[in-house]
Order: sequence, then structure tokens, then C-alpha cells
Amino acid sequence: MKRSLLIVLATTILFLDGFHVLAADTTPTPAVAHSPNAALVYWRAFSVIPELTKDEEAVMAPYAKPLPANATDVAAKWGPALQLMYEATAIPDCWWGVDYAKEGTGAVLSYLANARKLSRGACFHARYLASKGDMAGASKDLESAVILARQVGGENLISTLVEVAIEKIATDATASCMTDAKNAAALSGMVDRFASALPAHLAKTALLGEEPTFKLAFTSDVERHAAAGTLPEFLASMQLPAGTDEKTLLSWVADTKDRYAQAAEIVDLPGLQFEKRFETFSAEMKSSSNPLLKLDDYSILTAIPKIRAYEMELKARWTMLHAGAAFLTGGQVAFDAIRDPFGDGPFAKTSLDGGFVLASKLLVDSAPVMLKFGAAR
Amino acid sequence: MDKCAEIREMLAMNACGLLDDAEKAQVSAHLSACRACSEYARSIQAVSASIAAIDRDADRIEPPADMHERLAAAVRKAANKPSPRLTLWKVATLAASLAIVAFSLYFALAWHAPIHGTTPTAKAADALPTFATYRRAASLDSHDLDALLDMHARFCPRGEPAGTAGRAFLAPNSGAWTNSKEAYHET
Repeated sequence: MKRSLLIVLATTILFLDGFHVLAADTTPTPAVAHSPNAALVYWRAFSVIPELTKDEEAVMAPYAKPLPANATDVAAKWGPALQLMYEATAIPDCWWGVDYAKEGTGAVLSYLANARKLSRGACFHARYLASKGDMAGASKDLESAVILARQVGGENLISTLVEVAIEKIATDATASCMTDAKNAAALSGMVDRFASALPAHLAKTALLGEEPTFKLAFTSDVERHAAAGTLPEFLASMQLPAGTDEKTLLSWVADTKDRYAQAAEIVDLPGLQFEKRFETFSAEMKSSSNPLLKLDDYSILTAIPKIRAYEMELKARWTMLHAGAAFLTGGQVAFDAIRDPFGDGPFAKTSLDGGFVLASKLLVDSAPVMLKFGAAR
Repeated sequence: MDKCAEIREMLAMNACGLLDDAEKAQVSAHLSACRACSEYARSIQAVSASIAAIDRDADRIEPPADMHERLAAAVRKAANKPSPRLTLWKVATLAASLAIVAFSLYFALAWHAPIHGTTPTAKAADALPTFATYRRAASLDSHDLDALLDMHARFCPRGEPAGTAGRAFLAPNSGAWTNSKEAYHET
């Protein structure tokens, strides 16, 4: 009797379970809700970046003015990638999915080169649309390039350097699209919005972000090699002293924290104060007994003044866009009212065939920061 | 100087074989009149050669066996020169030029190595667009960094690696490049 009851009970359970499975099979599975991540859409955009011939690639060069006849074909090829880029730039959160704690210093950052390439496409497309009189479309492309730049940057030193590289391309393209008062007025809103939202303390943030990135990545390398018994090979590849144990390596990486904090503080100082403190800082880095700081000599030490200069260059470039637009829409008086943030008056302006060039008093790599408006050559 | 920046961009394009004859003539004319650009052109000449070699015969390209040692020796030699301020600048410039040459050659090797199969050397893995590579490249000037990013964009897979949300991995032990999480954990 008991056995019969058990059989009936088991059969019922199996039947109900089977019914549940059948019911589940016929019901559409709802998509799992994730918070939107712009990076995933950017990756889809990267996957349809067009393959261009050498001739087509040359059409995209920023100095190709006026745009050649085959520009229409090249602009059309960028269409699918840019559509996805517009979708991505509408998503505020962007995480590129790099897990330094797991992937170590070998973490592949292929999104950086792809982001720059996609931005180049957007800027070329903007120039193309502007040449056809579609300034709303041009503005959208330029905005997308700047949004992507800012979604790439800020995490650490290299991501910020790439952000700067993209913003330089975008500001060049924006100035290039300002051929007359109407075009300049159409782009003024975009310029105002992004100039006022220029990341503050760009260089400081980059250095503060470099410290945890390097710490996570290097610690991951050390722990992985220690576990695999390949620490000697790792030390040799990093040119670190043979025989150093895991504990010492981890203490060295912990010791870099203060140096990055110091560098971040110094990079934010004004002109002469920066030069004085950086000289002392460089000497301390070079004489440090921590081999990891010595390893950083050439990359980090050289990068500190560079990224500081680039932060100032971006400020100069966005202010120049303001000034250029002011000149085109409001004439000389409006132009003179905008000061060079690194000089004691307005920017220097030189008229050229097809446009004009603005130059700041700010020197980067020993040359004044300049921006060409319209088709100036 | 703005003209110089334009010419340097064109030199980078030329390194990828993208200039037509008229543009080459324009570059040539500028180089004959501008010493700084002429020196810059010489510094990236090796890059042009290496990229041309990649284009000509990508499958057979191999760096000279002693290349890494020669590069290291060149940097060491430069680093031992006196005059601290000048030395740092020279070393940075030399390192930038050498890095570009090394990256292009090694990257070509790494790219042509199968993802699963023959394990690329650790040096070849260095040439991938990794955090380690870019950390070293942080000292490059903006033109050289642009050239490096151009090269990586040219050779990088652009598609989203399936199931990895855009991530690719260097397998910890073999140094092989994989875009599969499973393969990563297996290694």
C-alpha cells in the first residue's frame, strides 16, 4: 500500500514537473535585464567599421580639403558603424570590461585604437555632412566623437592620452566645419556644451587612476607567476632583480601608491611651481631604491609633463572654438572679447585662403597650439 | 609649425602607403626645406619599411634574431650619455622610434600567429595592444602614439569577441591571445 502511494506521489510530481517544463518551453524567455552599458554598443559599432581601400582612407585625411568626389561613397560606408555609435553615445554608463585584477598587465585594450578609429570616421562624416549643408548631422557626428572620447578616458594614463587624441581630432574637425557664420552658429551649442563640461583636473585624474590600475595588474601578474612557479622568468622579463620573492614584489607595488599621489598633486600645480616640484620629484624617482619606480622612469616621468600640457591644450582648443565661432557670427568685437586662457589678450588670428588660423600663447612640444577654421590651408 | 604637423600626419599616412604621387611630392618639398621634419622622417623611415614588409609578405616576416638585444643595447647606450635634461629627451625620442619599429614587427608576428596553436613568444605578446604595451608607450609624443594606435586599429580584430563582452585575454601561462573565457581558464 505504501509502495503504491509512493508510486502515485512520484508519478504526480514527475507529471507536474514535466508540465512545468512544457509550460516553460512554450513561454518566451524574457531577456535578462542588464543596466545599459555603452561599451557593448560601441563594440558592435567597431565590428562594422568599414574596410577602406588606400584611396578611400586618403579621403578621410584631415588635410583633404575640399573633399574629393569619392567622399560620398566613403561617407556611406561609415553609415552602419555611426548608427550604432549614436546609440552608444546616448547611454551614459560605459564600462569597457577590462578586469585588470584577472588579466594582469597583459589585459588587451583593443578598444582604445578602435575608439580612435571610429571617432575619425565620425569626424570625417561630420566634415562631409557640413560640406553638404547638413549642419545638424555634422553636429551630431562631432558630439558623438567627443562623447566617445570622454567615455574612453579617465580610467588611467593611457586611456586619458587616447581621450586627448580623440578630442584633438574632434576639435580639428569642428573648426574645419566652421566655414561661415551659419555653420558656426549651428555648431555653437555643441561647442558650449562640451567646452563647459571639459573634464577638470584631467592629468591629475589620469595619474590617480594609473596607480590602482597598475597595482591590480602587477599584483595579478605576480600572484599568477608565483602560483605557477614562473616567478624567475617573470622577473627576468620585467628586468627586476633575480631572486626577488612574491612578498617583496607586492611591497614594492604598494610603495608606488605615494609616488602616484605625489605626481597627481604636482601635475595640478601652476607653471613655475610645477617645474620646480617636478624636477625634485624626477630626481627622487630616479634615485629611489624601489625598482618598480625605476622601471617607470621613461614612461611615467615623461608622461607627466606631456599629459599636463595636453590638458592645457584641450582648454586652449575649446576656447579657440568659442573664439572662432564668435568671429564668424559676431565679427572682430565678439572675437576680441574672448581671451586666450594662456595669454593676456585674444588669440592671434591669421587670415588664409578659405579660412583663418587661431594660435594660442600656449606652447606644446615647443609649438603654439593652433586651430584651422574653414578650409584654411 | 602647423604645416609641420600636417606633413608629419602625411608621413604617418605614407608609412601605411596611403599617399599618392602628388602628396609625396608635397612631403618631399617640405622635407627638403625643414630640418626638423626631415629628422622626424628619418626616425620613422624604419616604420615605413617594416609596414611595407608586412604588406609584401606578411606570412614570412620574422624579426632578426638579435633585434630585441640590439634595441635594448641602443637604449642603454643612449641612457649612459651625460647631460641629464638632454639625455632624457634623447632617450625618450630614441625609445619612441625604436618602440614603434619593435611594436610594428612584433605585432605583425603576434597577429599572424594562430590564436590557438603555436604559442607566440612573450616578446610578440608584448606587441599586442595590452596595458603593458601602452604603459611603455605613454612616453611617446602624440604623433607616435597616433601611429601606434593606427597600427593597432589596422591589425586588431574589430568584432566583439563572442561571449566576452568585448574582452580578450592573454592566457597567463602560454602568452597566447584568446578571446574565449574557457580557453583562458583552461590555460
